[in-house]
This record gives sequence, C-alpha cells and structure tokens, in this order.
Amino acid sequence: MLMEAKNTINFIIKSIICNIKIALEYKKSFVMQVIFMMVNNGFFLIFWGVVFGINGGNINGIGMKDIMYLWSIPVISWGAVHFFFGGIKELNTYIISGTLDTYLLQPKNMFFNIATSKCDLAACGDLVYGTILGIIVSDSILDFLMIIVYSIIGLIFLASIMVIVRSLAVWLGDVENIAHVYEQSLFATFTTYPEAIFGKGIKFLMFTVIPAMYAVHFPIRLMEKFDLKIFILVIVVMIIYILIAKYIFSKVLEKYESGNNIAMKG
Amino acid sequence: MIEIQNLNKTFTKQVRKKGLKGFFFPEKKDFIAVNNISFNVKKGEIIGFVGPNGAGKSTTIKMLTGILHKTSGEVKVAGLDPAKERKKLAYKIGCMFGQKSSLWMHLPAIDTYYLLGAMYDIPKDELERRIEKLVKQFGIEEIIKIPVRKLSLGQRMICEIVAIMLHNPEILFLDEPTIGLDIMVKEKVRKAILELNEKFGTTIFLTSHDLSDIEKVCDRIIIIDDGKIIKDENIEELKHEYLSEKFVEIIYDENIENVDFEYSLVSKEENKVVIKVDVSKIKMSEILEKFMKYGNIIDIEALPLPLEEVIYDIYTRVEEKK
Repeated sequence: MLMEAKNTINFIIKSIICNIKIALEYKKSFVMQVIFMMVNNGFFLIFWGVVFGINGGNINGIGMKDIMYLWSIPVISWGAVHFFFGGIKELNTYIISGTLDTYLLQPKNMFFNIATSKCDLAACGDLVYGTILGIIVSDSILDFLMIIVYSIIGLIFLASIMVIVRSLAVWLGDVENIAHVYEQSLFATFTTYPEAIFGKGIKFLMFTVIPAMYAVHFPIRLMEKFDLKIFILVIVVMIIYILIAKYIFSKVLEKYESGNNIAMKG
Repeated sequence: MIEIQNLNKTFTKQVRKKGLKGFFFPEKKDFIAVNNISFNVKKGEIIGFVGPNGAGKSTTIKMLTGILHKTSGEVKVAGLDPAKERKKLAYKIGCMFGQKSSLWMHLPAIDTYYLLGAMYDIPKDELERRIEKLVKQFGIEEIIKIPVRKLSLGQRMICEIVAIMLHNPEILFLDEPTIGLDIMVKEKVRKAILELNEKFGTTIFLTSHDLSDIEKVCDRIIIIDDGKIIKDENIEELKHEYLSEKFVEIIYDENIENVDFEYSLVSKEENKVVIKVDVSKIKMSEILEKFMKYGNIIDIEALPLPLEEVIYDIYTRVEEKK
C-alpha cells in the first residue's frame, strides 16, 4: 500500500516534469502566455484599486487586503489545477473520443494518470500571479503558508467539481459548454468577488452546488481570524466533494464504452 | 496464455425513430458484438485475428485487455481476469492501437520511456538497460532524442514498439499496427514484430485489415464475422485447403478484346488476363486451348491464391449461407 502510494507519487512527479519539459520546448509561447495571464489578472486588481480610491479604501467593510486574498488563494488553486492537473479539463473529451482506452491499459491510478496527461501553460501565469500576491499580502511566513494550505484546499474543491461536471459526458455526451459555464462563469466569478456582494439566492448556490464558500470565502475568513469549527467544516465538505467525485468517476469507468478515435467532422 | 470460453458482448444502443416522440424517447436495442466465441492461445504463438469492419475484432481485444467488460463467458489472459484484475494485467501486456499513440508528441521518445519506467515501477538501472537493449536492436539511437512530432510515421511506429516493450510484456496486442503506413514502413513493423517473438518469446495477438501482415507474420489465423468465429486454423493449412484453386495468368503478344470469359475473371489489362480456376475440375490444357483462340499466348502461369483471396472466399461463402 505504502509502496504503491510512493510509486504513484513518483509517477505523478515524472508526469508533471514531462509537462514542464513541453512548456520549455515552446519557451517563447510559454513566457508570453504567462505574462498575458498575469496582465489580465493585474487589470482586475487595478480596477479594484480605482474603486477603493474613489470610496476611501473601504466599501461595506471590504478592504483592498480582502481583494488581494481573493486574487491570491483561488487564483493559485485555479492555476495549480490547470497547470499540474490540466488533463482533468480533457476528461469529457477523452470519454467521448474513446481516448480513455490508453489510460485503462496502464497500471497507474486512472485519475492521476489522466489529470497529469495535459498542462494548460497559461495557467502558470495564474499560479505565479497568485503566489506573488500571496507573498505581498502575507504579514508573516505563517500567513503565506496558510495561503498555500487554503489554496490546496481550493485546488481539491476545484478538481472535484471539474471531475463531477466533466464526467457527465458519459451520460450526456458533449458537456464542454456546461463545464465552461460552471467552472468559469459560476465558480470563478463566485470565488473572485467578495462574499458580501452576493444575495441570499446566490449564497445558497455557493453553499451547495457551487462550493465557493468552502473553497475560498471561509478560508479568507480564516485568514483574517482562525476558527477551528469553520476549518473542520471546510475539511468535511471537501472530503464529501472528493467522495462524490470519486464515486462519479468510478461510474464513468463502468459506463465507458470505448471507441475508435478516428477524426470525424461534427 | 489466453483462454476464452463462450465469450459474449452485447451493447445497448439507442435507435432514434421518426417524429418528435422518437426524438425524445429513442428506442433501446441490443446489439451483439461478440457472439459466444471460444479459443486458446499458447505462449509464443503469433495469432492473426481478422474480420470485416464491425465483426467484433476490436471489441474482443478490448475485453481481453480489460477496457471493456464482458456480458458473459470466461476470459483469462496471462492467468488473470482482465475485467477484475485490469491493473495487474497491465504489467503483463503491451498494447498498440494503430490510431492511438502512447508517446508524448512534443517530447523526444526517450522522455516517454522514462515516464513509462515510472508507470511500470521499473528501477532506473534496469530501465536504462532495457532502453539501451531495445534501442540498439531497432537501431533508433539518434531518433529517440528528437521530439516525436518531428519523426516520420515509420520512425514513430518503431518508437511506439519500443515503448510497449519496456516492461517486458508477456503478450502484445496489436490492433491495426500498420494502418496508414507505406510499404517500406509496414515491412519494418512486421520485421520488428517477428524479432520480438523470436528474441523474447512474446505472444502476439494481431488484428489487421492488411492480410499481408497476417500472411507474413502469423502462424495461425482466427477469422471472425458477425461476432462469431468462422475459421480458426494454421495459415499454411488454410492455404492448403485452397491449394486446388489457382490464379491463372495468361499473357498475349498484343492487346486482346471481346473475350468471352467462361471462368471467374480476376483482372484484365491490355494483353494480360488473370482468371481464377479450380484445377482439380478443369485441366490446364483445356484452359490453354480455350484462350489460344483469342490470340498468341506468350506466357501462362498458375499461381496459388493469396491469403487475401482465400479469406474473401470464406467471407463470401458465409454471406451466401446467411
């Protein structure tokens, strides 16, 4: 068991190294994507800076530090999932095209094998940007370490919901647009704006089907003031999401019907 | 090495009927992909598994490798149940599906080999020894350092073969390994398959639509049609069965026209006519006499039927029976 875990971790690291080697194979493109992504993220912070400048640095108790947490923790999570585990984004495509065959023929853990099969180069920009912001906003090393811990929690939430939504391809067929709306329009929006601006209806969603509260807003509250009960709640909900994702992923493997992957129109 | 008893696979598919009701409530229908097949493969054998499109070849291979679960029947591959022991089986088999690559396109093959080493838990020293041995055997020392996307198709296929051999598999499943390759590369791949069998005693289970692959590489052929096995025989024996049937090639000294063929015509180009005859029923002298009336024959030759023709004949007979 311990040996298997060690071998799996070794495989994950080697797989990620391969992805980084690919990034370095296209150095110029990689550097440009990273810079553009950082500039893109930077604009949001400038926008908030202007808003706070007009309103005297505080809007309904929300300050620039809260915004910096919001553009650090979820952005690190987002960047890490897409850079290190970019294959999750391909799960629905693999299901439809029959590409899961390749992974079923290999002895390593299916999920990690798929997850580390691809890398979204631009996501490295998110990762770097979030980390720099995390360093700036941290008052101490412990603060920064907590940002990393909460980013990992956010990563697990994001990876779980991506697995859940993209696995639906096995029942619904093409779910790319559904996944795009869920991950980018809903989850990303709900995690990069302060929780105070959302009404009760949206908050209900953020506590249930789009777990933005547990993935980002509770951790930000914990950054400001640690509360063991909230921390435990976040961990419990995270485990529930992992189990749901694991169950649905196992159903995908049962229901998967393979295919003959020949490029076709349509 | 492979034991299959009464293996079945049924897929349930939705069939859409006309109208709005048919659109929202499609009918579900069962399709039998593999119908009660049984066969065994011994260690070191090279099996050609052939059949027309949709015959059940790929479905059978996918059940043997654990990708698909059987509907009923018994399957054992290298002593393991593929559906229940997929991960364990993965260490004992190597698979190459013609349309799918196991190599990372943007990296040199050597990087994929090291990743596969981690995939199959091969210690670094041992992995390097195996890479060196295989790379030397196939003469691809320089090729493995170039990103795969820059390689020719033939070079890529040889790199693929090395990739599936790194963990010393007992059985290789090759599904259309020569699809889309030119004649030179096909020969290279066939040579590589034979070398693996000779040097490592690897059992090989090969499907191909190119029957020259089967003829040049395999010892035994299993023909599947409509999910059922219609022939399971040694290739030489199969060809022997059809020994009395021959292609007769007649060459005239000039172009001939308006020939009234009584025999089964295979081809006619300018001054050359090829017919198919059963020489146990018709004498060659009789054929010669009949064809002499169309012009001056400068050459005549009787050739054994190629495997392709034998299999086509088997398919035709099965279709006629249906």
